Amino acid sequence: MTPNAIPKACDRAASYWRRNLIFILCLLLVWLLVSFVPAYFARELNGIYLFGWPFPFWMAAFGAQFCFLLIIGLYAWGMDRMDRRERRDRDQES
Amino acid sequence: MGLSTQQPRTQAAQLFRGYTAYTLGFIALVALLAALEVLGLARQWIGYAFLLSTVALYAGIGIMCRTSDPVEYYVAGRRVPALYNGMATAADWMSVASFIGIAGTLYLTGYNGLAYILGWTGGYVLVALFLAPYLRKFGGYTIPDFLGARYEGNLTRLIGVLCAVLCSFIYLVAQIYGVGIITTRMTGISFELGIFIGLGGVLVCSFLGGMRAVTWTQVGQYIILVIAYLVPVVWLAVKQTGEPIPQVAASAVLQQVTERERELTHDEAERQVRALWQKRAELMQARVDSLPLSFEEEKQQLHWRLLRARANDAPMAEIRALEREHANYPQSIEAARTAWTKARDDFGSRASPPVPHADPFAGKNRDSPEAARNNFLAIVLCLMLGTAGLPHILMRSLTTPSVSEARKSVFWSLLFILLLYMTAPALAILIKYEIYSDLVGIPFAELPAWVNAWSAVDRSLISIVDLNRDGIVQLAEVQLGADVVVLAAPEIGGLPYVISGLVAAGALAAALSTADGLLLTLSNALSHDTLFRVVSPRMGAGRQVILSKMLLLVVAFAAAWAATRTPADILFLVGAAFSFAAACFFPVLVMGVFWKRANKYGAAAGMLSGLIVTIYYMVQAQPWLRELVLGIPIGVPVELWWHIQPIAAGVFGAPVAFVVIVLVSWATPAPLAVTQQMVDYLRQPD
Repeated sequence: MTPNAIPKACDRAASYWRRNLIFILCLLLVWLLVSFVPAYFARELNGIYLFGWPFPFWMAAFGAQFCFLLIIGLYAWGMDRMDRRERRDRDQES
Repeated sequence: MGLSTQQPRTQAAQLFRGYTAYTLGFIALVALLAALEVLGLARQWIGYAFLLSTVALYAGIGIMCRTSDPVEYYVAGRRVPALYNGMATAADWMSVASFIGIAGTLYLTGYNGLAYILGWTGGYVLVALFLAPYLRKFGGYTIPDFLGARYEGNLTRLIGVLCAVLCSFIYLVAQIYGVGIITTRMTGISFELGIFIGLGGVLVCSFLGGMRAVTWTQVGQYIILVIAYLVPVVWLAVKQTGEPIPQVAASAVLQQVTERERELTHDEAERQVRALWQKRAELMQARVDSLPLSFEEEKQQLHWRLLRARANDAPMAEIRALEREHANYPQSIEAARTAWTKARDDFGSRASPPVPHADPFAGKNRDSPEAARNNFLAIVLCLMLGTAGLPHILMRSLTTPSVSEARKSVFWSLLFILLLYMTAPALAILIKYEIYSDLVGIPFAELPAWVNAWSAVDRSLISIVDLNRDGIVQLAEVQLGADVVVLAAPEIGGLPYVISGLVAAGALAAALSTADGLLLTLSNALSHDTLFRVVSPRMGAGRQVILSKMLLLVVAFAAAWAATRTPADILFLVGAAFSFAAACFFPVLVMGVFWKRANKYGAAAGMLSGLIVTIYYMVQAQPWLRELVLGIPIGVPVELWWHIQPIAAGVFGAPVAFVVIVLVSWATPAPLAVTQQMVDYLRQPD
């Protein structure tokens, strides 16, 4: 083990955590955008139709839920990739 | 099932084979009962067959999975694959309120009811991003375990136990009450007996095998409840439009429903009936206004009308109705004020034209659209935070084999939940179409059989009165209870009775699976977190499990006792559980992972202040609770903050908890270095 291995490990850990936080923040923004924004402007958006449904109704009944599922799936898949890479780097160093 | 300790791949294959056989067996049972029905088996026996066979199935899985090993008992050995854990979470999550109530709520409130769907699904995003992976990485047995470790000591652990008991017990009482109602309707046995049969099924399972048995039973219960929910809806969709996908069928029908609503708003006979309701509402208002004088007057008048009807040999039905009214006459002046105010509001709401189904925030009440919108958003947020804070759901992320599986398990949970939650809005529209086209406008002599059948079970489910005496059903004369939308869907669609039995079995599965998870959370909080961790930490593992099982029995009977005392308002109870979870658990758990500086003082103060604010808002904004606690009569108008209903009280509690955690943590010393290292460990990959 080289003398600067510990700070390096710390750096890597911090960068992993930072990337995780950015990922979470982006997905959280999408979550906010699909759930609360259409509901807040529901009366204004009521004239628009999508697949035969009024847009706000469709969004609150089906659209937002699809997005939730997508967000969770994306996070699970993305973090899996990130974890794998992280573990590989860690093993290479030690 | 789940008994093997072999390689994951063979375990998965074995599980798949097991549950496929189980599903096919269940379908065969339904087919057999359908054949027997054609041969003339009585309806009641079909109900008994469903009740006993499903409870026996669950008990059987419970017996197969019995265990006394702590890791198995508390977290199912941590080897439930993500897919099955997702299924078990979905069953754990979907309570009897989701199964029966949600489609009915959507039927009655249209767009506004979507707040529940949005809130209960959006919460899983928070679970996946903020909680599940870290709780799994920590790897304790319970949520208070995490609080105790992260916030150094027993104070936060005990507050965690208090909150867990508070929200789980309220929720459990609501579930057991639901079990009683369903068994009574399914078979006609008494409410109390129904509760104890259902409880027997729950107990065999969780008592013998703890989390392991509960998990594998919940997977089985999910399969039954999803079949039971989808079969009648798909049938209805095919019958109305020829489309097997309910959502597609509903979009085709929605246009006609909206058009019919517009017609009914301007229809002459409808307006006449609505005017009659309005007159009744005004009469009630006059009665309320002239209290206390009117109390004795009305009583006398009712008495005279009854005597006169008897003397004139009036029709039996009329005399019966008067006798019932006489027997149920309010006991006191205050009771009269409450009852009459409620009657005034009921009549008043029936006097208003139908609300267009898809219109946002167009309520029957006199609130402005802005107020309705605030309330909608508040309910959505509160349910989301509550979902991400309910201990019996968070506990489920501890049973997966790894952090990665915990994240995937949330995905599967939401997918399985959506199968049902995305069908509910479609079901509500399909039933509405059926009511508008087949019920409204027909003569009273030709009422379909299901109307009489269900109004005989309970008049609050469906009642139709010929108010304007024209012999034709008007929409304003029909009153539907929320539950009937799901319960009567098979009959409305013209399906055989065996499908009605299937629906009841599905509702029972939903209630029992949630009750299972809640019972386990409660008994673990009391035994593992309180007795073992705080009172006598040197207890052996075997004794710990035995103690847990004993407490499980005690909690189960306490909840059954509370349920037989018929709690006031089921929906409010469930809402209260979510508010408590949102204010107590969500802030403190998220801060525990994402803010290293959060310490035990901040956590304890945050949880308590969140809880207190939530309880305070509920007490002062919910009329019956206010009367119970503060002694203010129900008739006095309540003061709402930003028009937000008490059911969403958690939206005030949660932000207060966050702020208090930050302020108090800053004012007190930072957590120990060991604790900070633990947070670093949680933030790293496996």
